[in-house]
Amino acid sequence: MKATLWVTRYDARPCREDIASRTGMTMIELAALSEHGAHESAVVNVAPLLRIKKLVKRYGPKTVLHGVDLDIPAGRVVALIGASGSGKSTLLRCVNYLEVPEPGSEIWLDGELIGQDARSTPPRLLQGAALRRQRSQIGMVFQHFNLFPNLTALENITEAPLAHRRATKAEARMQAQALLDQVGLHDKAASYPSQLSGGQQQRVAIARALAMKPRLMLFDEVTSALDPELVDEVLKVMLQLAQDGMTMVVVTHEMAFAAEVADRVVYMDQGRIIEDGPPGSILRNPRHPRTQAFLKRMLRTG
Amino acid sequence: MHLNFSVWLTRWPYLLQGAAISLEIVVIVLLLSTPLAMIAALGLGATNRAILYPMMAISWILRGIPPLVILFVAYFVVPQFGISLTPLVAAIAGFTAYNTLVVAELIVAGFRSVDPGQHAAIAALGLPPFRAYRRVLLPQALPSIIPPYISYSTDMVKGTALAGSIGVLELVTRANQVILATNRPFEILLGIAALYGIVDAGLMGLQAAAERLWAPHARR
Amino acid sequence: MLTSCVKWAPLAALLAFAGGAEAQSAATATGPQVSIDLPKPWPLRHLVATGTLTIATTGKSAGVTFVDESGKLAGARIDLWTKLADDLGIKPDFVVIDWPGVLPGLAANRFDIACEGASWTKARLASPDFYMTRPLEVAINVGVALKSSGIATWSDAAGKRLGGVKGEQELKDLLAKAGAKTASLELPGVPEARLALLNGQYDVYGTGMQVAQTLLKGEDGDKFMILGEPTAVDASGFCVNKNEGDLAQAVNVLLAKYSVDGTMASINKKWDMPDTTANLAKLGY
Repeated sequence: MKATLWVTRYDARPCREDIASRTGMTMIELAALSEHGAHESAVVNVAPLLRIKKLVKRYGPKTVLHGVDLDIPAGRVVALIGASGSGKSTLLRCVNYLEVPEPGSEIWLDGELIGQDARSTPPRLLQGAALRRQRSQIGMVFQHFNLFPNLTALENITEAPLAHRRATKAEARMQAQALLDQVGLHDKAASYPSQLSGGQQQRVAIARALAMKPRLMLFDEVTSALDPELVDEVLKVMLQLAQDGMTMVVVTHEMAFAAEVADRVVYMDQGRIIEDGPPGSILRNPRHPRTQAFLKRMLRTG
Repeated sequence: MHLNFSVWLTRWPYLLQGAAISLEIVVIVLLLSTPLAMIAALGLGATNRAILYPMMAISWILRGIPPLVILFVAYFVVPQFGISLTPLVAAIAGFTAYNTLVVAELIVAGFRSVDPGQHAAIAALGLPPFRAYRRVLLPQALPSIIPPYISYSTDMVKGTALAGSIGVLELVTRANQVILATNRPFEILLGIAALYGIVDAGLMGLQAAAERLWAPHARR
Repeated sequence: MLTSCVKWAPLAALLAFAGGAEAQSAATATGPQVSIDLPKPWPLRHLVATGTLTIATTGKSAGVTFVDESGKLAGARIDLWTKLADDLGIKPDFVVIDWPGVLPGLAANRFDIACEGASWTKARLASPDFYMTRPLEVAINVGVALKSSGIATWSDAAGKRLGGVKGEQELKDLLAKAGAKTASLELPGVPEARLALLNGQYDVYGTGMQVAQTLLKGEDGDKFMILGEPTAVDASGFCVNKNEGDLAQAVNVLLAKYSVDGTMASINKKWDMPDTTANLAKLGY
């Protein structure tokens, strides 16, 4: 039984009120747009699911992100590439406020300001339950899996839904089993992380992130810590996820995966976005010399 | 030198009572200081400096002073402020104060030994703090807390001898009295060494059991 | 065993004098019957615990204050304190605590009365931390050595390693007698001091006559000897809480009474302690 429980959610076509609330447009403006022949789903694409505005991050005197702007429409897969230290992982961690950006930076998810209280001026940092609720809408998968070693694969997956009271114990277990089936680990429910291979652990970690039915998934170099022969099983799960319509931001060194799966490739260097476009043009015909150098290096080593 | 253990025939009830008092001190102090240490550990692990710095100062002072001095303060100085404690209560209070901070530091170190990635995962999933501690952090910190905790408790069993200096008739004090009355130091000392050995062996058995209980994922 | 020690002339004389004095004091007890009317219970207003005489004792002095086979405190001072509490109309409560804790505890208002017999010294008599009662006994402090050490006189003891119980006047007297500035070994109590001496970890143990005699009578006693001349002969009494002038007064009155009515003599006799009444008389007590 292949679970598509969560697929329907973010594939649903939004109604006009919904679009209005997401874009901040008035109903009159929307009606006008509609009269000009714009389809509602196109309007939604105007207002992206994830909007990153003027994102600045500093560690002490060192600025690692220099006012990055990035919009990602719903259902898109964006591959974030760049040399280590380019700020791509930091950018990812700022999206769900694992790293707190500098004041003035804004992260919007589906019309909601993340990590800050939009009602106060200047916006105060969100804490506690409000921040936890926002984070639960963003799934994150880490380079080193970060599974809870004291819990079984199944318990790792049910932990968040139970903590957020999203499901009863029985429902959570059923959903977790469905997710395990989906990532190809139907027989590993009772296994502890230490009993699983790296690729299996990473697939459990993806299932764990999906259990909260997130609107957005963040992947932070999820295959870099894996033995080469285990990379494909993880990429396959991610490909399936992309085909099912999940919005994904993928920090990766897997150029082949970026070329095949991503709708867009964003190249970052020294805390700035240097190039942004379809994988075909970025990966095959990079315009910026630094992108060219980076890709040359990647092709040589990768 | 010929050993003659017949002194134990008449003196054993008195000495065993001393062992019971020593054990009583250890048990009560552990029961009191362990929950207190958990609270103190929250202070020592706090990010708020208004909590962290005073806690660090208290910890530094209490752990830096010899336990004997803390006992003297509990028994001789505290009464100056109108609270008069019996020797046993003063000893328990003094040991508890010292032990709380020692165990708190053990707990803080145990939690620090948990992989930072676990905190990232907890934050990313939006797990509430109390649940995260109970389900994820505590079970992972315990295996590194329990062994030094038991080893420290074993030290404490021996440390109770200090209570004799403020008038608690614990095992060593009684042994000294019996040595004085009988002039059979070696027989008495060997006997009480055996008593301490039994108590410590019990604690070490507890440690082994605790390690099995708290580390199901590490067993494999 | 005292008389068997040849080099003991001055001490023997002291004791002989003490023995003779018993008859003498009995002889002077003639003339009109004098009696005093003592309050009972004594209205003591500053006791540490109401209705209780809180007594600190080391429980580590054979014959004086020690733990008997049944685990109870016993000894000459325990009897005397019990009698005192009884005559004061209150209950005795013994706190067993090592000597280093005794005077600090008294100063800290933990005890009403303490010291099984603290030597009268300038410093103690003038101490702001406690009162000293009238003397109970004349304390003879001596040096004890192993027979095998070859130390027989104080001239033999010159340059030898001296030791005793930390903080005791007996140790200070030994150092003064031998002209030494510091002890080579200070131990926490009598049993430790005895063992260390037996082990040859130091050479001369400065202690009280009573303790020395117990060592000679006990296990391995034949290995010890008492040096021929005392290190000091002084008076010793109890220490009383500085807040309790009324108690000090009451104890002084009762101790005077006990020395004339035979209570003191009978307790000392029961525990095989020397009677020093006559020597006390030399000090006017």
